[in-house]
Formats: sequence, structure tokens, C-alpha cells
Amino acid sequence: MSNDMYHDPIIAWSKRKEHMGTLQNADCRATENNPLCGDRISVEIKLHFSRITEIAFHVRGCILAKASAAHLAFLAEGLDLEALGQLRKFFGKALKSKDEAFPFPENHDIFNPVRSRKSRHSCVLLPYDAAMQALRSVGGEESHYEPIQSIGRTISKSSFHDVHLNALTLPDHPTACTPAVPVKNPSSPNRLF
Amino acid sequence: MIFDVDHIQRQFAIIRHYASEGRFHYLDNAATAQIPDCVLAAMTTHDTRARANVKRGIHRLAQEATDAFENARDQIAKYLGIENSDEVIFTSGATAGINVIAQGFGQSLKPGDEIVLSQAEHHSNLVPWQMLKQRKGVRLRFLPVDENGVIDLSRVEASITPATKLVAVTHASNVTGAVTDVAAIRKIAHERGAKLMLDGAQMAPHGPLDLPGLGADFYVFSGHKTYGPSGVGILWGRMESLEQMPPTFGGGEMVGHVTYEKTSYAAPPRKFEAGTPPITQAVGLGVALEWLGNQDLPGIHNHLNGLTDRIMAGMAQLNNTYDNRIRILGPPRGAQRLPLISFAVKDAHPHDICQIMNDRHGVALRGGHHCAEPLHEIFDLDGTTRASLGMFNGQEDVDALLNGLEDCLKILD
Repeated sequence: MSNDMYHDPIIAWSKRKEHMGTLQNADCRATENNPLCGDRISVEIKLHFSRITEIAFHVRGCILAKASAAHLAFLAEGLDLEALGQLRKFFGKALKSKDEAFPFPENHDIFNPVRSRKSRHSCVLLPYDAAMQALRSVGGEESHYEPIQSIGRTISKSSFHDVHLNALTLPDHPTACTPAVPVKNPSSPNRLF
Repeated sequence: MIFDVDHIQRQFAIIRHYASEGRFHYLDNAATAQIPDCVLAAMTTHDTRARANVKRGIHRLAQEATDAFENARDQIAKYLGIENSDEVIFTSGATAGINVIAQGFGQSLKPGDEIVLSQAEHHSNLVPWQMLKQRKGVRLRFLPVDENGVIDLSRVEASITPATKLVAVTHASNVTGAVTDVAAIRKIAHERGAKLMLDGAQMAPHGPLDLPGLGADFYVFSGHKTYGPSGVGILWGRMESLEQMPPTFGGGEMVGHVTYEKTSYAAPPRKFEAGTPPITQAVGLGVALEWLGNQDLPGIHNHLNGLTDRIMAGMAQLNNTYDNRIRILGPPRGAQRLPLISFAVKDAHPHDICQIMNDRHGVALRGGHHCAEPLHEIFDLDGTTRASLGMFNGQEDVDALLNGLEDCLKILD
């Protein structure tokens, strides 16, 4: 993959507007700031049994923050705080890893060029932090498990939280990269999706 | 005499090092300027020939270290245009200098006393006063800036009152490059019985300075912006102001006589230099300012003004093609300003611009609010991108900046 951070998939994601704006009757909301650059991300979320059913971001920030927010919004449906937290941990660990072979979460490879630019890590993680903050505000519980090493297997040590983020792909995805869309299935408590 | 930028560039190891890459355009001098060989050599020589603690030792190296340290103080005093080098206090930087004043000068202030700042201040000349406000209940007033970021002199008379104890303003803005009309502010401040402190972090690299002529009571700046090392800076104060001001830090070296019950303090500058100072850095800063003072400063000014004008003209040309997307902050072309240009691009985030400039064009810029968040709010901007010039910059750096900016305009639409 090109090391150019402003490659077409990132640009395309940054321009997606489907999940940008506000929600009526949101169950929780939060705003996170990056004091280093002044970026600000607000998120509003609707929930069903603690899991995200709708999510909308408002991003005052750079292309990376916008792309990451749009990308996360596509992934977020069906996630609860624990699953989102695991994804955030894994994503953060992949970004920080000095091992180029360290895998990114499924469908996050487009952010690979960000890895070598440490000062930009917070740009792509800010949407995750905002969403987690919103879920915490309504009493969501986080896992204390270590982040998983590879999505497509288990996301935590508990089979309760098995995740297969590559289960589905988005048909109108703007790039060759295929972000997964979690399937909302709250009636099946042993699986997230 | 014709200013020779090639001659200057050859004196910087970092420029020689990256010259082979062909793409090294360092335009972040307002944050940290590069350091010439003579400064590096002076610090290396000091640490390999005279490294020891200062003032206390009898042995040879202690004597040599003390001599080097005090010689640096003299070199700096000369650059500042002052005769009494005891008025030169080594700090860790401009921020530390302002904090020393805020805590020391501020110690005697009482509720209702006023500190006058301007809207153009760096956070380092805002937050220490907000902290003083919390401790002492003083009032903060702000001199407004006009649309170019220049302090509005028509408001100075009304803003500085008999309750004003200190006016603390920037000598030149790190965002707009606007230079403060010190004389007008000093006159009113002193008429009302207030002291005047200038934050010279941005102006000091563009000397020569004449502190007695400026008429300020305190002046602060940093080493790393004046072609010197980081970790060192200067607080200058008129001797009577320094004598009146209590010390901020207690410890070794700043004392006269110590008992278990109480301590008398040494005279300035020792009174404000508790503990072991940044000795090697001080030696480096002394050499840096001596080197800077020996340069063809009028030639450098002409050179940098020419490059600044070339940037502003280039941006105006890009605006013709790209629908006026570039907004330049600060005084217009031809007006007095520092050689730094902060600009906003419609629909483009400063960090994206900086990243593209770095990755594709080898141009080092600074993006964000440059530690002046309230000023950006006045301009209704989340942040700006800043190009700031040093004496080693040339036309090739300006051309790379403008080419890169056009690239950004195409990518970030």
C-alpha cells in the first residue's frame, strides 16, 4: 500500500456524509477535543439494549479525523461499549506498533500510512474516543481484557464477545477496501452481530 | 554589501546534511530556528574543555566554566544593548521568564489591581496571568487588535488605568507577524505608574535590540528561536525592577545568608538563578547572539522581507486561480511585519496542509492555533498554517512552499 496518507480511499471516506450531522432523540452524546490541534468531534448515538443502532458525527477537524469518523460510523452499528473499546484498543495498538507486520483491525488497512506519523494517531482515534465517551455517559461497561491481536478471530477472551468484523461488506464502499458492517442482532446475546 | 544566503546556509550543519536529499525547506523558524556550527562547536568545546558547575568551585574547570557562563551573560547583554549584564537572567525560556515575573512581581498585587495584556498573546503570556488572577484576584484587561492583528492603539489610553500595575504584551505576534508599537504603549503605561513587560520571543531573532531605547521594564525571549540551543532563555529587567521583585525559586546560589529560620537573598542576577543553571546552553546562547549580532542584519531584513513579499504575492496569485481560498493573517504586503505568514485555506485543515507539504514537498510548516487559541477565535478560525522564515531560507524554499500550496489546493478541495 502506498505510504501517501492522502490516498484516494482516505479522501473518499473523508467526504462521506451519510453519518455526519445530528440525530433526533439521541440516547447519548459526547464531544471530544484534541487540545494539541484544536480538533473537535461531537457524536450522537441511538441505542438498543446498550448497542449502537444509529450514530452521527460532527467533525471539526482534518481529513484523517473526518475519514475515521465516517469509517467508524459504518462499523459502529451493533457495537456496545465493550466491543467498541476493544476495537479502539486494537486500532491504537496497531497504530503504535513499530512492527510493520502487526495487523490492523479488519478493514482498517487504509489507515496504515498513519502508523509512521505518530502526531496524527490522535486524529484517527478521536472519533472512537468520542463514541466511547458517549456510551460511558449512559453507563456502558468496558472490558479490561487485553486487545486482540487479530480481528477475524476473537475480540476478547470470552466467547460471549466473539466478533467477526469481516462478516459482511459494504456494497457501495468508495474504495477497494471493504469496511465491515456489523449486523444488528440484539436477540442473539452470545454474539455481537 | 550584498547579502549572501549561500554563505549563511553553509554555516548550518543540518542544511548541509539534508542538502543531498534535495528537498529540505525548513519554514518553522518561529517555533525553533536551526543552529549554526559555531554555536554547536562552542557547546561541544565547553563540555569537552570546561564542564563543571559554576560559581562554587575553586578548581580549574569550575573557574573556566564560571568564566564561560559569565562571558555568555556579557555577550547577551551586548546584543540587547544594555550596559549592566547583571540585569540578564538565565531562565529555561521565554515561558519561564514570564512565569518568574507573574509569580515574583505578582506576589505584591492585591484584588482589584489590573494586568493589561493584548488579544494577540501567546498562551505563555496569558495563562500565567490567569493563574495569578486565581491566586490574587487581580483583573485582566485586554488591548484589542484590529483586523490585521495589530494592537489597536486607539484603545490603549482607555485600557490602561491607575489600577494597572503591569502591561505585558508581545513585541511581535507569533501568528500575525504584527509588530507592536511599543513607544505608544510604554508612554501611557509609565504615565499611569505601570511597568511594561515585552514578550520578545518572536522579535529577538530579528534584532538588533535596544532594550534601553525600547523603555520596557522587563523583556523575555528564548534561545531556541534565536539560533541558539533549547532549554535556555533570558529574562531581562531594569535593575530597580529586579531588586524590587521577590525571587520565584528558592535554593542554592540565590541566597545571601541562610539560617534555619530565614534567608536573605543575593542581588540580581543570582537572586533569580536558583540551582545549577543551564550552563552549556547559556554558553551556546551567548555565542549565538554574538554571531547573530555580527551578521549583516539590515541585509538579512531586506532578504527576509523580500521572501515574505514573494510568498504573499504568490498566494495572491494562487487566489486568482483558486477562488480566493487562501486567507492571509496579519498586516498587508508592504506593511511592517515579521517574516512569518499564517494563512487559512478554505475547506482545508492546517494539519492536512502541513502533512502534504512535508510528505510531498519537503516543506516544514506549523499548523494549528500556534498556542494562540483566543486570537484564532477572534479571526473566527479553528487554526492556521504558518510559514516562518530564518536567515538561511532562500527563494527555493519560497518556491517549494508555493508549489506545495497549489498541490494542497488541488487535493484538499
